[in-house]
Amino acid sequence: MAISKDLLEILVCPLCKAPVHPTLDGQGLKCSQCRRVYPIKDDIPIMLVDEARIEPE
Amino acid sequence: MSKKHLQTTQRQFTKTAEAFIKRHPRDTQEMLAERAGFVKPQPEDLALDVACGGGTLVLALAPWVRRAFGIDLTPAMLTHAREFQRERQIQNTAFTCGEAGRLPFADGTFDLVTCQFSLHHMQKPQAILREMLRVMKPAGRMMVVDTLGPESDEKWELHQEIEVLRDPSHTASLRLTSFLASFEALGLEVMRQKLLRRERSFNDWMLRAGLDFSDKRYAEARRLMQSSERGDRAGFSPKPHGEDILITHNEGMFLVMRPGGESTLSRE
Repeated sequence: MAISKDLLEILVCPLCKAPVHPTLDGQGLKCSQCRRVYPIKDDIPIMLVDEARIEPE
Repeated sequence: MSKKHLQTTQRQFTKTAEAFIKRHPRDTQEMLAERAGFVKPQPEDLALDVACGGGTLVLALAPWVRRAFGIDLTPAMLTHAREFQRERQIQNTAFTCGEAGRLPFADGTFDLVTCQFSLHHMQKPQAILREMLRVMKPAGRMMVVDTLGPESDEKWELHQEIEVLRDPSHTASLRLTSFLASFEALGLEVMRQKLLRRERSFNDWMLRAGLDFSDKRYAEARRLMQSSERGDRAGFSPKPHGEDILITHNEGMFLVMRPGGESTLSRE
């Protein structure tokens, strides 16, 4: 079971509140503003700032 | 919340996830149905349960609303939530790991925002209520359920000492008057309110926090509980019961809204 579409529609970055989008490998959710990538573990998005890594452009 | 307190909370609930889920006297089907009914769920509601733990309230609300989401700090709790969701084949729910004080949702997303038995783990409960209010639609509703601390300062202090001894992630049990003052400070109106007295086994209560008879903290908490019997000095109304002690928690359930919010819901 992947992340539900309904959840993806409403999730935002907990820091800047900008929308997040699935990464190409489907392993994370990337903030469109601060470029933090929040990991997805066992189909559960981990929206904790400390768990995120900042990706280059 | 401070990083240290977040870690304490996460550690406590990772360690006790299994015991917590199995020994949850507040989450019988009857009690969950009572809470689900209390919020007057509407078929179009988008609901969020903050600090959802094993997801019991999310799953109880799901049949009555469009979608019910849950968020919790502890992944081990969410793993249980997902298992329950699969077992019951409930489709319109999803779980997220996140902080109650930094919800990963935009302003005004939800019709219904709930939080049960969690504010006493928060260092700044008022900030959490404000964050819950942020993600609530202008005409949305918020339900808060929690244990209530004694109104008397002396009783409150011993009550607090026992609670923290049992669970280091317990910050403070708010009093009824503190809850009402918090809602007022946020400009919220109480639409429904229910106060309950819930009796439970002291031993079970300790086991749920991962403490058994051999634990020093168990012994100390039991000693304090017994010493509080005369004059009910900690507000738990303890009663000896064989090897066990029956204790009572006061609970408050509140349904609050912004003034003039939902006109279809009658005030009670």
